[in-house]
Amino acid sequence: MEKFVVSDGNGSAATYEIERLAGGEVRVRREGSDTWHTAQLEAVGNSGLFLLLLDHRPVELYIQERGRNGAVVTIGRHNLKYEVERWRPSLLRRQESRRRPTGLIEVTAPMTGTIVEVGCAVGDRVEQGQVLLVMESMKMNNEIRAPATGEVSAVEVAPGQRVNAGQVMVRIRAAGADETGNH
Amino acid sequence: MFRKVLVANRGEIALRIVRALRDLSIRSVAIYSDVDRLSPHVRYADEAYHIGPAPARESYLNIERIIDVAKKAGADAIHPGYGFLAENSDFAEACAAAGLTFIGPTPESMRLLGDKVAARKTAERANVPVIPGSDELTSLDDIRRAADRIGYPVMLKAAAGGGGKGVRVVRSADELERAAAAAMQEAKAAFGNPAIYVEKQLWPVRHIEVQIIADQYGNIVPMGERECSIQRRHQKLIEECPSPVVDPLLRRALCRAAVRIARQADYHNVGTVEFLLTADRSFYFIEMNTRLQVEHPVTEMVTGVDLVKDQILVAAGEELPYDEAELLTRGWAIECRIVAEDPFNNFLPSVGKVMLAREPAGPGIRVESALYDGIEITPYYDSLLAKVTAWGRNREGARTRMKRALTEFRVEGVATNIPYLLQILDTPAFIAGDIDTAFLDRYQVQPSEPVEEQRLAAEVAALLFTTGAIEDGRRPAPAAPTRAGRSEWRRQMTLSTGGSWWRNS
Repeated sequence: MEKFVVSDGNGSAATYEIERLAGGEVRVRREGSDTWHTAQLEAVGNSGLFLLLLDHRPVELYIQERGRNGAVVTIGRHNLKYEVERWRPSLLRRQESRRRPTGLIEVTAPMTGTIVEVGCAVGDRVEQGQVLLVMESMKMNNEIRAPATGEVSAVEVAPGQRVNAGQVMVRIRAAGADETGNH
Repeated sequence: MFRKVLVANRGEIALRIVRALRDLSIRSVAIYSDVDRLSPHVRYADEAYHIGPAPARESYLNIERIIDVAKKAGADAIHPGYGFLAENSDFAEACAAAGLTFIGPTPESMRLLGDKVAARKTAERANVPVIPGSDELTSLDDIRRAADRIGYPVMLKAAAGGGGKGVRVVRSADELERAAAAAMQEAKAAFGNPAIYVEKQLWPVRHIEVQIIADQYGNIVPMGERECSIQRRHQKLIEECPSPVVDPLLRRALCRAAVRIARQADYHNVGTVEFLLTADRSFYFIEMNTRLQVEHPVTEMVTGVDLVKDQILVAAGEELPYDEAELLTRGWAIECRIVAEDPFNNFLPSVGKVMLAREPAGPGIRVESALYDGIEITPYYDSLLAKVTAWGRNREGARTRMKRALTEFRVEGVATNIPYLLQILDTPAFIAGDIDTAFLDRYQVQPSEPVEEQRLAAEVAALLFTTGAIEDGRRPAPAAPTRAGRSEWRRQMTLSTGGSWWRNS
């Protein structure tokens, strides 16, 4: 029997036992559950598409490698990122310490496009959900809103500027020390 | 008959036209921008010519360049598809001047119908009711005066528009200035003309449109209505044929009105006359699209007619081979537009590489798409990825098939609106056919978190994938360990498993 920790990048982790049975079948059990599940994973060609037979129920998944021990699993519309490590007693504690809260939020461009309008300036106090700027992509104007309440500490774009997806456009110092960097 | 036709478009509609040309044994000429080099419309055409960089203004809207290519290739006609130059009378004239047939209406009837303000006048002359509205306006003062006269709520629409771009609803006078400025800017960006017009907003309404086809000998055949009330920000999302509320009497009235407008403009080509239908069953002409329409497949599915093929035939001067009485309709068709927008993230456009595209198939399903594995979705063009049409003997049959098809449809790499479409198809109001143009305001996307079952499956898959416990051992060998801890991990793994514990043999 083997024991692995599957953690999802949001700080939650599950421990799995995995066992190879006679005849090549694999069964797994999530810690805390009494149920063993039979499992079989097979690639469908080289497309990244996989078939998981979980207790003989077929589930189509799209899986991409992510680093050495990681995988991005797409199931339905959900993209789930995982790290898998061999279980050892110190592992879960280390996972916890990785979640570092931060008060500085970067507002990044959700898509490639052009800035139409900038509606905030350095020093402005903005409320969560307030429109920070408007950008155009695919002939549509999209409002970019503040992910949290706070103070604008930098505006890195100007109207007419072309931005790439992921580019930092505005930085906000979140109000309250317990804000996390999630956005 | 034409020998060779240039298709002045891209994506799924260019492919649709290339297919019709092949069915007619006419040679097809594709054009493509930098980013569309590998598109199916390029691969499936008989000839293909590069016409410029990705921005549409420098490629698919570049009239001079397109005409040059058509002459160089020896084409005798140009099919504009929809969007881009399809409703541009300058383009139609440039084609004529170059001795090329524009597969569409004459520039004259295009001017009478394509521009919304002119179209209203044409409809009034044809004795078809129109919505109270203004002329084409470009100054804020004029727009304010018109809105005050008509009475709020009003809509601001791009005069040169179509496809819902540049449309704004203004509920009160104090919203007008900002909305008018935005509408004019969007109109200018999308159509090169900032002029807008003001129109009374009727409420609640269904969007009902009549497909027609007309030849050059005065034969105008109406092909029944389409219901296109499921719209998001004035962009149609789900269309069906027929409409759940149009009975034979109303259908006849709608079709007569559509034919009158087409006759008034001496129209020949396929075309769509759009109406708003109010709860008291009165209808008002809104505009006519003087081109093939995105949702044409639903009409094709219930009539069995190939609209693109017949459009090419009438442009070549042939007489329509059927009249209204000979057209038989059968069953029900629903179309869903699959767009690269993330319904769970405020419908932001999703650009990037489609890693994997698997389209649905099976009885009653038709897919119009130009997707392929590895296609790059760019911000240069609109976000339509594919259209799925489902046919059934009745509405419920079409709906359940559509649900099945959308569940089969797999697009990995960019977000699509498929989950939202599935939610809409399952709302009791949609099932009952109780829809109007504000339907999507009432049925917004429901958040969807992975259910426990999906989480378990994903975790188990990640576990088997990363530990190499895959049936055929296809996963590539892990890279050399980089840290002492990793080496230890690898060593233990090898010791405890004998190196290949997951293999069957």
